[in-house]
Amino acid sequence: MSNKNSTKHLVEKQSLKKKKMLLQMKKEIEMLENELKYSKLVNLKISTVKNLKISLRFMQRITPYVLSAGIIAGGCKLIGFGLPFYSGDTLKINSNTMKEFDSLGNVRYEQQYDDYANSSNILYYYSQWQPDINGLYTRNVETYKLDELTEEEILKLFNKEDLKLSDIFGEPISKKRETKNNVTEEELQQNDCLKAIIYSEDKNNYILYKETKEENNVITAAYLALTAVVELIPFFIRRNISTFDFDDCVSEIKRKYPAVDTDELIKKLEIRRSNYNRLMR
Amino acid sequence: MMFKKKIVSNSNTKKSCFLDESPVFKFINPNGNDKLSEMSGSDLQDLIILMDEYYIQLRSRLGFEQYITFGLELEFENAMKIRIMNQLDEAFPNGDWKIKSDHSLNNGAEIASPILRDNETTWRNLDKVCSIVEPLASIDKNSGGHIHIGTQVLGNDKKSWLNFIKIWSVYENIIFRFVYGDFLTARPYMLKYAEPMAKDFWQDYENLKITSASLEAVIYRISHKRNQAVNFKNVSCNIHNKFCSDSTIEFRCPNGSLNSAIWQNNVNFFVKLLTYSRNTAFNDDIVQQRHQSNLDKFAELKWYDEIYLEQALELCDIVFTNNFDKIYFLRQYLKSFQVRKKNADYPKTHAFTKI
Repeated sequence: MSNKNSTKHLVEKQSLKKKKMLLQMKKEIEMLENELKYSKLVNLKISTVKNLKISLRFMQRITPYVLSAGIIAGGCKLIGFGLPFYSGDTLKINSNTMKEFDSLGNVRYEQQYDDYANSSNILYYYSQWQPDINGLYTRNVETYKLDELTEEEILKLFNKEDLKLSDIFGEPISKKRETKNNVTEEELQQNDCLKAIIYSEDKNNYILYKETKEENNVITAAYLALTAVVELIPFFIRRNISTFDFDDCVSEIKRKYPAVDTDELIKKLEIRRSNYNRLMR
Repeated sequence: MMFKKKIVSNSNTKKSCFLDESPVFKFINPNGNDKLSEMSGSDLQDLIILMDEYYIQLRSRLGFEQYITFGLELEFENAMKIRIMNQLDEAFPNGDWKIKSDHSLNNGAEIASPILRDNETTWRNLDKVCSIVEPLASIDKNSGGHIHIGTQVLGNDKKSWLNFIKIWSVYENIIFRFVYGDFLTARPYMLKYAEPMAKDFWQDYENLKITSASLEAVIYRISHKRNQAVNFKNVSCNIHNKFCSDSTIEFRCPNGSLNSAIWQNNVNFFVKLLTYSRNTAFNDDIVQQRHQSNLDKFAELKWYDEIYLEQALELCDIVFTNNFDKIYFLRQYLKSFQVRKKNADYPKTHAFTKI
């Protein structure tokens, strides 16, 4: 009796396994059929996800370069040069003033909408005119760098007695001996004098003008040169330190998201159905 | 490794008797030769379920005749070569099984067997080699398992060679999945080192069957290159048109393995395939019909991962003359009906051998 029961049990177990096997095969066939049925939609989804991921990786690839190029272009605009590659920008030029004033009370102004070639503040010391043996007159001229002294501070210096210029400004940047024959009575009477030349920019006094193409070409060329140099930094980092490899990323994405090949699906279905049908014969 | 499943050679009838008490061999007589391709669906279901619970083992003998010779090349990677070499020297003091470097492998090596014949010593030695290497190396993506079989198995008749390339070209999809062993797909460099030949062989067959080319010319024609699934570059004849002693047909397609049962199963299949090709009862019609129904539809490596049940049963019936061999073949071919999933790299199957 127990033998019959165990045989029955074995037969049932065997039958269950067969059903499970066929069910699994049927399930796989149905999955393939569904995949085929919705392949267009699935491919659209795969293609969207794939392209999105590739785009993100592309952005990751170019971001350091775009960022540095953008910062440099923005910097150009900020310091008043205008954007590269785009001429016709409205640019602002502030007024530059040069003021000459001396310890004798003489003052002279000059204003222009342009930079001065040499805009360092300077102090000249002129000694008294002295006659020489040739019947000419000579004097010493010493030039000192003024640094950041204001006009008021310079005027105070003019009024100081026993002023030792070298103590305040260091050694003169140049020493000259001036000689001439036609010195006026007035000049002869003059004592030593000081003359200051200072430059300043007036941001409230400016003119606007349209950038020319030639000016923009120069800006663009300078921009490209600077950008090329600066972008060597992210290039070097990417190449030698970073592990990011765009091509590898794209290959990986393409491998993970292969499009549904309907021809392949049809063939697979044919094979799986054939196997199933053989077992159902 | 056990040698439970004995082949008892009956010296009077020269027939092998298989003794196996497993349920599958109660369902099907191991010594019989049933036409599995004509089995009913229900019986086939039963057979497959029972087969799934059966684990193939290393047999003491395969029952080959003694003129049949073969050689094995076991490739493996990530190997502790010095230790393997020392253990091989200890196990085989006469230096029969030689280890040598192979630059196609990743820190790997290859062990080449001496010329082997089907006897207990051969299989015991193979098992010993596998058990030496197994803890000291691994089968990785580059490892192959090449099998050389003496050309005398196919013989001097040109027709045998043409039969062989014909049957190979029609059933290559079955053969490849079988020789994947315990993997579900071809090793990644299969196309580089053991290129499938179905289309080329069929073309060769069509061109050569109508010519009066000599055997030498046939062999020259079908030896396209060395790195193909079946390499004929080692086939050499002397001036009397007799094969040299080291002349072999090399089967390069099997994936690497350190499982002696799989090696033996592969050898069994290739030898039986070659002896069938030589057989005067070679069934041209079945092979031709199969070619017509397939018509190169699946003659691409990616399709070789799939299971072609009807075709596999047909090949079994053609090549093997006993159910025992057929079950061993099918067990390794079907691999519990597992198929490689999309994007899986080099996946392994569930075990189907008993270690």
